[in-house]
Amino acid sequence: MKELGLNISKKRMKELLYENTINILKKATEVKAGHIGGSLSMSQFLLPIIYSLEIENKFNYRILLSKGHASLGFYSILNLLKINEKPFENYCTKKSSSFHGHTCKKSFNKLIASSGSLGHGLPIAMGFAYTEKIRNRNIPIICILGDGELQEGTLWESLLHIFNMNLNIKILIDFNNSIETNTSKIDEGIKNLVKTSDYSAHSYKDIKKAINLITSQGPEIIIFRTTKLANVNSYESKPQWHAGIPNLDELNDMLKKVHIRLED
Amino acid sequence: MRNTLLKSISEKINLDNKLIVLLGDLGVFQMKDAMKKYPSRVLNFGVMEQTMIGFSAGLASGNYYPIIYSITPFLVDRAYEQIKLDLIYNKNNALILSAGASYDYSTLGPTHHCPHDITNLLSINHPLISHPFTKIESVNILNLILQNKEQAYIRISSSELDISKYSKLEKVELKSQKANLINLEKFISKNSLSNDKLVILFGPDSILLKDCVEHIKDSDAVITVSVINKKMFKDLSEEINKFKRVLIIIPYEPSQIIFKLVSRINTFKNKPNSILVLHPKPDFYDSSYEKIDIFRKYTEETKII
Repeated sequence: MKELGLNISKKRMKELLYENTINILKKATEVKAGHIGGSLSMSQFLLPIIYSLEIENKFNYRILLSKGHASLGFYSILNLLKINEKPFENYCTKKSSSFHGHTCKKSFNKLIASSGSLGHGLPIAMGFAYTEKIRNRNIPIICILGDGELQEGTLWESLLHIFNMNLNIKILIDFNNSIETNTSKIDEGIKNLVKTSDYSAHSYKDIKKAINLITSQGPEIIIFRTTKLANVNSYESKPQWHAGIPNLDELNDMLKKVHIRLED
Repeated sequence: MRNTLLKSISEKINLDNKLIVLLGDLGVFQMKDAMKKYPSRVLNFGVMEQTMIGFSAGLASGNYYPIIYSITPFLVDRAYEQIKLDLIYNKNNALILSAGASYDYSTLGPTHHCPHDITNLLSINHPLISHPFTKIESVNILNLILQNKEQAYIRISSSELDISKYSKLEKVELKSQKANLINLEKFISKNSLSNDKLVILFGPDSILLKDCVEHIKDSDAVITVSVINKKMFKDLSEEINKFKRVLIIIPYEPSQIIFKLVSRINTFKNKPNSILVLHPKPDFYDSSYEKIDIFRKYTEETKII
C-alpha cells in the first residue's frame, strides 16, 4: 500500500487549527454544551489526519471515537473540511435533527458506531476489523481513545486479541494527561505489553509519521502527547475545562489568547 | 436442549457464510468439529464477555450475524451495558444464546444464578426473547431467527416441558399465530364447558413452581409462551380477557412482563375477576440447593387483580 503524505503547508494547517479552535469554543458557549478539553486536544492530531485521508488522499478507512465525548471536536473537523456541516450546525440544538453531545454514527458514513460510554469502542472496532480480515480487504479502522479511558478493562481484554489476530486497527490515544486518579503511568503499562509509537501532537513531523502508520498493515498503537487547551494561553491543563462551558467573558478572553502550537 | 441447538448451529454454519459463532469458553467440545472446519467463523473468544459482545457488534456492523454463547449471568449481567448500547442502541443484530438462566446452576450458588435476565432485557427494549419448551421448538425458533437475522435472545433451559402430552388437553389453533414465529400456543381441557380458569406458562421451568401441575389439571385452558415480543403481549392480553380467572406462572423475575401485560389489560372494558402471578421469590439462595427445591420452596404469589 502506498504511503500517505500530508502535503498541506504547516502554515496553512496552523490556520485550520486556529479556525477549528475558535469554532469549538464559540459553539460550546453558544449551545452551553460540549467537552471542549478533549475536543481541542484530539483535534490537534485528528484534523491533520482527516485532512490527509479525506482531502489529499481520498483514502478508504473507517473510524470510531471511543472517547465519544469529543464529538464537538469531531463535528467541528467535519464542518471545517466541508465533509458534513450538519452535525456541527445542529450540535446540541433543540431541533429534531439535532446531534447530542456524544458521537452519532449518522454524522459520517465512515463512522462505524455511535459512542459515549467509555471502553466500548475498541471491542467494536476489533469486531469490524475482524470482518475485514476474513474478507481479505483489511480496510484500516481508526479507533480513538482517551488516556482516562485506558483504565477500562475492555481495552486490555481487546489488546489480547488484536495482536494475536493481527487486526488492521490503528489505535490513536489522545494522551492529554488529565486523569485525576493515580494511573498516570498507564502508558508505560501499554508499552510493556505491546509495541507503541509515541508522538507529540504539536510536532508536524510526528503527525506525518503517524499518518504513514495508518497505511501499514496490522495493529498500531500511537500515543499522541497532547494538552487540553494547549493552544489557549493561560488556560492549559486546567481540570475545569474538561466539560466546563465558558461564559461570554471567558470566551472573549479565550479567543484573544488562541495561539496555535505546532512545531516542525 | 443445549446440545441440540449447538448441533443445529454447526449445521447452519455450513450453509450460511454470514454466521460467526463466539463461544465464551462454553460449548467448545460440542462445537469442536465446526471450529476445525471453519476456524475463522467459530471462535472460542474466552472469558471476556463485555469485550465479546462489543466484538460481536463490530461483526454485525461488518455485515455478519454473530451468535454468542455463554453462561447467562456473565453474558446478560456483566455485559448488560454492551447489550444495551453496542447491540440494541447501535442496531447491531446478534443472537445471544444463554445457558444457565434462573437456577439451572442452582448448586453453584448466587454467583451463577440469573433469574432476572429476561426482565432486564425487556427493560432495555430487547425485541425478541425466547425460552423454548422443547428441543424441537428450540430448533424451529433458531431457524427462523437465523433466517431473519434479528436481534434475538434464546434462553436455553435445562428443563423441558411438552404440554401436549397432558392427556386432558387439546391444542387449538389461534388465529393470531399464523405468522412464521409462534409466540404462544393454546390448549383447552377436553372436559371444560366454560372459560373460567386460564393457566399461562412462561417457559419450561414453569412446571417446577409449587402446585403448577395441580393448576394445569384444574384449568379450562393452558397457554404456553415461548417467544416474548410486542406481538406476544398483544395476543396474550386478548386471550387473558376471555377468562374469569387467570393464573400466570413466570419462573423468573416477572416485573417487566407483569407491567407490560397490565398496561394492556387495563385498556379492556371487561377484565378477568382475578389475575394471580406465581413466581420465585427474589433472594440470594446461598446454599447448595437443587433447582426444583428453590422453585418449590420459594414460590411467591402476586395478585394483579
